[in-house]
Amino acid sequence: MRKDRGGKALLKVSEIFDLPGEAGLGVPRVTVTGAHHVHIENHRGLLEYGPETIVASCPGLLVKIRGAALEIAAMSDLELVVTGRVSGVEFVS
Amino acid sequence: MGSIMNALRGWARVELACRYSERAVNICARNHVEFWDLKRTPEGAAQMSVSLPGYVKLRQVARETGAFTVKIVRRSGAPFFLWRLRRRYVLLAGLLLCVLLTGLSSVFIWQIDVTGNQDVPSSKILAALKGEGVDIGKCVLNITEQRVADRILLQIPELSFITLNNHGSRLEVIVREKRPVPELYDPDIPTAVFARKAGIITETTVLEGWRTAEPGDTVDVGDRLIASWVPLGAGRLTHASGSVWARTWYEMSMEMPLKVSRKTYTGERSKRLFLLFGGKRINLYFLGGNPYAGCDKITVYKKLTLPGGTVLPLTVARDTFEEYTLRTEEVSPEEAERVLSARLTGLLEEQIGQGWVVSRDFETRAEDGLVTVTLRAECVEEIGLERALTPEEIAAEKAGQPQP
Repeated sequence: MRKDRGGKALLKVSEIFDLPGEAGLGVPRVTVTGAHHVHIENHRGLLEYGPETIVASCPGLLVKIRGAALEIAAMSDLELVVTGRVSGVEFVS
Repeated sequence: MGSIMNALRGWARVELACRYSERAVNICARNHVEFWDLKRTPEGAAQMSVSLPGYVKLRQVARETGAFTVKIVRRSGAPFFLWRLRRRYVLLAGLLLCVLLTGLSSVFIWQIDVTGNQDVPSSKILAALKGEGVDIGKCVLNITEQRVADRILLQIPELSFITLNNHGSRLEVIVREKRPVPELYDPDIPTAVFARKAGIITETTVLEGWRTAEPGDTVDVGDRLIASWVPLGAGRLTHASGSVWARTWYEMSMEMPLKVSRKTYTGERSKRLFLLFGGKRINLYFLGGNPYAGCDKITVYKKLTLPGGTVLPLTVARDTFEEYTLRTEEVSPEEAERVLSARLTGLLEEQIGQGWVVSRDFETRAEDGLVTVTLRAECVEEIGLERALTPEEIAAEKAGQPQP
């Protein structure tokens, strides 16, 4: 609870000073290119994956990608690239 | 590009068997195992592609964590291909020999490209390079580029710069030619304007000097038209210049036989392949010589290069012989006259230079199987030619000038 409050405070400070949150605070960054490419930075692992749904765990939220013929094109401990026909990206707090 | 690199490095398609395949995937990501194209199989296992180093790491992670098992579905790439050939010793020896020969051939020059020259022929530069020991088949290790460049500059004074760049087995020779020194206008040098051609003067414009030929005068080649000596006051020598226009006349003839030989291709064609190895020709055929009594020979050369531009010491070439027969054809006098008239007109225009044709007349004569066309033309053209005077000419000018 204390850690969560600290994270929120840091996020507030970064907003005040107009600093990018994904750089030092570990805030996830999701980049969607067209309807076929989703790039997630600062993820914490996969919770579910399949051709229609991929759920990635990120600090403070879950990123749920829906679509068809979805594939994990590449993955490292920090980045995740999903390709396929993306119909929606949902953020679950 | 990525797929080519993967093919060279080698890659494997593996299946991770685990109760929760997401967990196995997360363990891989956290342990920096590079993978791509992750898919879930109908049985629930994770199937992914990994590089060869990634596969080694994956096995290590699986062994250390015990969280999943790894099964290879497919292997591909150069390392696996070579591993399959490990017991084919002759093939491996051939491959090794090929690599060695390719590496060895790259220390010899197999191609010399000369660029940047316009007036100095490439053959002259190549001959000078050959004299300095730089030639096809020579070892690049024995060549000191700077020393060769310095010596070539001394041998070919038309060059202002030369550099030799060695690209493996290809030698690039970049040259720059000296710019010709422009003719400087020096008003202190006494000059006069002389007649280049014979004719009747129609107009003279004097910019400097003293007019010695008036409109209506008939002049011959070499006559003085504008003198250097200006006899005003004490008199002075000038740098005479100006333009002199005159009526000129030309008479020129050309001949053409009424029977000419023309090539007719029969459609018969013969091709012969040969190899050039370091300047030596290796024929890939048995019977030499021209296959036909009358034929054209066309040779096409193709230099073999490796991807990346490394030139191999081998050139594949092909001679193509096309047979023809000579047929004697009759040319009508009208056609001969038309061809000769066009040629004479072109020749006349070349000779006039600055000027135009006032009138022209063609006379055609056909006798003994020969057509002769004579062109007579009257033209108006600029005939003045400016030339520096010799000391004797200067003395003559001072002595025999017309008085104002």
